[in-house]
Amino acid sequence: MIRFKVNGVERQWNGSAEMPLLWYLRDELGLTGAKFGCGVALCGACTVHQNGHAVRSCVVAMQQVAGAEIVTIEGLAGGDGDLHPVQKAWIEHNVPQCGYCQAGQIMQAAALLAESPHPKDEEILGAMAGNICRCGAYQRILAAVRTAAGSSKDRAGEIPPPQYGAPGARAAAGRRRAANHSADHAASIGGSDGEVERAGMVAGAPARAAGGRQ
Amino acid sequence: MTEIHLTRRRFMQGALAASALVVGATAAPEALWAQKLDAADDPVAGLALHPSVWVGLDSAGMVTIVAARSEMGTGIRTALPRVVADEMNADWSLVRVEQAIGDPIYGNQDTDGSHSVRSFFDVMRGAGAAARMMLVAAAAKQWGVPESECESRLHRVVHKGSGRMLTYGDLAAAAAELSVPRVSARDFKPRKDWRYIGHDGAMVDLEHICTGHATYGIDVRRPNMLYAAIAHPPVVGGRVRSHHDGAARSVAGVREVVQLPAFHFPAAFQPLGGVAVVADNTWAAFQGRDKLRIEWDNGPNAEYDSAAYRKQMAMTARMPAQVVRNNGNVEGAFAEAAKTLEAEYATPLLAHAPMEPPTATAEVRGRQVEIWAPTQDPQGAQAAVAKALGVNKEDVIIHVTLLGGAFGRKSMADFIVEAALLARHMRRPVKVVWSREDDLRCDYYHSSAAMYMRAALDAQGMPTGWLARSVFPPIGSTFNEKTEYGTGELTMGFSDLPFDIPNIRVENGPAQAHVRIGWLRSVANIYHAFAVQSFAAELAHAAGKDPKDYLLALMGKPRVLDAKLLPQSARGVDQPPYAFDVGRLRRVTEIAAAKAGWGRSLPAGEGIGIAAHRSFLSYVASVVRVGMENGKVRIRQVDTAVDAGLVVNPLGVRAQFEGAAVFGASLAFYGEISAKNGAIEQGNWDTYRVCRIHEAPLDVRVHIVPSDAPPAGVGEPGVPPIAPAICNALFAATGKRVRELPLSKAGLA
Repeated sequence: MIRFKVNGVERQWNGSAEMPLLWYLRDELGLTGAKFGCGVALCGACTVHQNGHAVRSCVVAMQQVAGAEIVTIEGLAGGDGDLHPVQKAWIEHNVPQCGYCQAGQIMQAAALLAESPHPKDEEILGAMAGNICRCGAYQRILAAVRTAAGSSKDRAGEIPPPQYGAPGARAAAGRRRAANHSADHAASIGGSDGEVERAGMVAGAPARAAGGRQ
Repeated sequence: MTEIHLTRRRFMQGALAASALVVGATAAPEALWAQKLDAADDPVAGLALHPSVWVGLDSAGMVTIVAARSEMGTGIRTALPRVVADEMNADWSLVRVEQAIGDPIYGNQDTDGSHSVRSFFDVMRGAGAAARMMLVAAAAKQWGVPESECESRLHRVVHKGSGRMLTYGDLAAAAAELSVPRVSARDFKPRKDWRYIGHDGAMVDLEHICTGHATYGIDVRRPNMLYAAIAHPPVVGGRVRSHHDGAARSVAGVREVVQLPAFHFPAAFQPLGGVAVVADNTWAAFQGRDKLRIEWDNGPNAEYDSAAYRKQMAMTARMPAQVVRNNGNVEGAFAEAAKTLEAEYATPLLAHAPMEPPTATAEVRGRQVEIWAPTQDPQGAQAAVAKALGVNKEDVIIHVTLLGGAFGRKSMADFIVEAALLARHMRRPVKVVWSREDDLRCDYYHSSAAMYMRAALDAQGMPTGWLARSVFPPIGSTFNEKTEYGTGELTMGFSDLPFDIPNIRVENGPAQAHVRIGWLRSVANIYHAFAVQSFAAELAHAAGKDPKDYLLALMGKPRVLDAKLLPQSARGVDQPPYAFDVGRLRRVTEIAAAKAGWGRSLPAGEGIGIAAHRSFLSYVASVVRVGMENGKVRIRQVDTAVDAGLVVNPLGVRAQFEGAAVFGASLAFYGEISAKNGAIEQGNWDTYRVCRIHEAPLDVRVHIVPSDAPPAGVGEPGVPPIAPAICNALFAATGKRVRELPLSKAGLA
């Protein structure tokens, strides 16, 4: 029997301890906000918070969530229905196109800002590098994270070219390793791109994401 | 009447069941009608009318507008309803949008080819105008005044003389008693009065998406539902020789292992065959699938090696081939040329790779089938399911969910038919979920292509002769496996060459398909724009001229292309309102260049490139500025100028062209599907890479050219100029000319 909380509600699970959290959330609980996009922590569509950290729920086994507090996109807004600042920024910037990846993007960004309330562009890109958007809404994602972080550099048409150098170089190194990435490794760092994820997201993360439901 | 027919009506009417007034149209505005709700003869729906309806209004004033086109991220579920609301003078905050099921009554619902706004703009205006006119008439009748003294304002009708006012909700029931007026273009609002058309509007699903409450295909849940994963043949045309399912059945939660019907050429929309594992949840189905032991007969494509075949295609492209367009005397031009230049270009197979893999849910009750799917083409799916199950099309209900990306993949119904077959077998609702590996290995791929280009040049370096050959496994092969020559592909940026050159010959050489070939966002325009716009820059360089000036010189004077010079398949390019207007192509080229600051000095190591292309009736030019980091191309800025005629929702259009820059960069940098022994080598995002945020163009500036022309495409036309503009910028930055995509192959991305 595995006990844990999802969006503040006590849950228990008697089924497969190996089953990824993603399928428990989607198929068992009917919380379908977290999406399936790769199954191996390469795309970030399934991102949820585990004790405040962004994790790829497609590679987090149920046995790993024992005692944990899980927050999904459905639980990100406050109990009064007030949207999380990241959700508000996403709406303000009209980020989504098809929208499929956006729950994962939002959860990733919320975890970043909980840890680092005023990230530099480089840090934003590093933290968001594990979340693929096939529609290519990245420009608006960057702008929305800046807005949520209270930065003023987000006016349409005035987005300065971001600093590519450091995160790009680290990402390339991460990709070279990606072929040998075990699912466990990916799960522990939450993405395809270990160094980037660690640098931008996990290290020193607080116990819960800002605005996450208790 | 069978139960399904009742059910079918209920679904069609359900969206508007609470409305007192319902206005509908077939695909033509003159066929408008409205009916009041009458529960008497239909206890199921309480709505006795022809069920094709676009707009409804209830007595509380709530307007319901039906979206019949599929939403895959282009914003069409927002754009077309805003046209209805504008013409109706409805308050957008009192509008809700309901998605139509698949039915020919809505006209062609196949959401492809970037034509949703173009084909349905006037239909939507007609529906909105009819509703508005009926509301005005109802108010006039109630007040006993002439209609001419009444006018519609935002969600209400006002009597101009007395100032009396009735809301739309007040008038709904009375309006429903009236017959539907015949609407003509004279009844449409003048453009100056548009409040939504031409103005930014947020997507109707925005908040649902951002809170995780939007429903995509993969999110569908039905009572008593089972989940299925399928082991598909690794090679198209392959079959199951034998399979052992003991280990799969021993996985906890696995209910059944089902061998699917064998595949027969041509592929069309049928499933690939294979073995399905049906389970209590997706994870168990995946686990069971992985434990199947299957011996395959790999069939006629077992020897296919994509690298070897691409070499063969390049050789084919060097040989004379079927002539598609022939103007003047190309041989003569080459014989007299001061100089000639030739180049070969090549592009690989590409996958669609939508974030949501193919998925569908089906429920079968007797001969009645109900489907929930992220489909671009619900009527196509309806037909494919009916054929596979041997039932009537009318007995197949297709509910269209949101699509988690599609890019052409979800025009195909193969995965939907799988769900229907399994639901019938299990006698329970079944959701089929493809893994990313299934998606990348079982796609209808964007064709690989080889292009040979040769120009005869005069003393100034301008072409007097142009020979262009294209070789690609055609989309037609998916529907007749013997097909080796293209049709529509050639008019996508190749035989419709807009350059003012006296002697032009365009040819198409044969190629065989060894995988299923399909439509990918902007289709053959991708490889043709790559070859034509790269070659134009190469000619400019050879002439020692500025690439932008040279490109404009190639286009020549503003004019409508002369249809007599073009092949039969490209005819119509001189027909208003969508004639191929070279002046518009020139204009976007000039605007993109000016906005990008073309000609200014750049930091050392940077380069700027341009490409211009017309597709789906829109004119687009992109200027890309790149720099190099550790030997890799980095995009600094993209300026895209677009003339898409009338733009309904500029916010959505800007997003489409921002996204197209990323889509184009992904295919230019990384996109490649390859096959060995007939099987696709890529499996997930590590081997089929697309741009991540730090690799993507993040400074994309979209310049919409104001236009009085009728609406043209916006979903696809942003893609074709990006890859050649990147490669032209790379050349400017480094002197390296890349003629084969992707750039990662040359270590440049």
